Amino acid sequence: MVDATDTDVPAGVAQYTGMRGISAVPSYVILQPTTLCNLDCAYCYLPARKFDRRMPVEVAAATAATVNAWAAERDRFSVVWHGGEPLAAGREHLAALMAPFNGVEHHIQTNATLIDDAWCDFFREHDVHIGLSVDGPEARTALRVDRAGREAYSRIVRGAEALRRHDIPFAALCVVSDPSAELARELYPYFRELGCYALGINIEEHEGVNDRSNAYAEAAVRGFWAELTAQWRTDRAIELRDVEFAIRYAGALLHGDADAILPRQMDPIPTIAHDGAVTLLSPELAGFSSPHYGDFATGNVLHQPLDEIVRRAGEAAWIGEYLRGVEACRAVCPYFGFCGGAHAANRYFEHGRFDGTVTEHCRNSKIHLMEGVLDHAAPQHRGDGR
Amino acid sequence: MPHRSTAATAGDLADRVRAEGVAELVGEAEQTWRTRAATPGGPVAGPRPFEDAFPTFYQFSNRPQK
Repeated sequence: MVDATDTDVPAGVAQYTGMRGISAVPSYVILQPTTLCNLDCAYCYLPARKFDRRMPVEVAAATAATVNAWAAERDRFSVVWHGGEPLAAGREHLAALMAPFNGVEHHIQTNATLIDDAWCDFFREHDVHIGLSVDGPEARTALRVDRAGREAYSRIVRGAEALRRHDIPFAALCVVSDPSAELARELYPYFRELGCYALGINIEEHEGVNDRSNAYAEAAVRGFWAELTAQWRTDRAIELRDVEFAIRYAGALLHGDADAILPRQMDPIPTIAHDGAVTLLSPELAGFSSPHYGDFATGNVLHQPLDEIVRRAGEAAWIGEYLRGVEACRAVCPYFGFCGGAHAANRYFEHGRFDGTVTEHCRNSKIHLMEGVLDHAAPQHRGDGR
Repeated sequence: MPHRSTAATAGDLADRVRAEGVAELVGEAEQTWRTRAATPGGPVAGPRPFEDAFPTFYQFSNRPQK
């Protein structure tokens, strides 16, 4: 474990005991089979998405050497193939990359545009869990275009249709760039119709090569989450990640066991890039460096076992600073028990450092989420931000 | 720092959660989760913890406990 520094707790701020230091064993790893993406979404944070830099099988094998041992110790262990667009690596290569792994669940997060019957057969054969990246109805998906600027929506819909035709369940991740109550009223029925069993909402983030502002008006964001809660409440068929987690936390506060929500330690979330470089804690930092912190990668699986890279996480200066930042969040933020501290990438790309506290991402996706859910449930008690 | 209309302290947030209407919402959600658990594979999503669908659930609590 990497130790975190304790801080004094001001009066009125609960002492939450989770998220202390970094676990030596993750519960999942993220791998980048190729840097290439066939789309060029306006909000994408990936720096090398127009290049097809494929992960050699040796990188997957070196990763699997550690992951298989971790998986053997746990009930479940996930290997998440994330891009670029993972399907752009092709079935043959992706199968070769998956081959060294044993006892794991494979997940693919895909833009859906390449999914056809052959890919569905592949998903079945390899028992792959599927997550689609879809931003809603066609007009709301205008930021998802290919490199020629052509809309991607019709190809996304065809991919979803193929999954439904093959009875392959899928979750959906939706990036929201213009949060409002009206949008929530539009999105929930849309995803209900799309056929996903679960939906996660990612309010656009200012990170990586995406320098668009994510400083949205509080009333708009709270209104979005409040209306999404209302939509879910009338038809609870979709597992609505963000809203349900906020309700789960509200319930824990009511039941007096809120301190049990956070994991005891942080998951190191190793992200293994196409070339074997390992970035911990925030996948969005992969491929980036800074004059002050150097390369955010803390090792390479071709030169060092992954478990050793994770064990030595605290030796990286930026990670030490991040852990101090988490303690600062613990000390000052009333939402810490829900959130667990601002994410490393959001701190860096918004503040230029890791030991600050609240970010715009915190506001959009944690604070205003919780407040929006409570606005819906108890509108008579909502704050003065509406 | 949080905006002015958000909770200033953990106590404020706990008070807000105790407002009339919140327990009802929580109760409905808990019933939904029990239903899912009782009907795996049914039309309502199964007893999956959130991370089944989203292993990249670090967006929330760096992967929450069940």
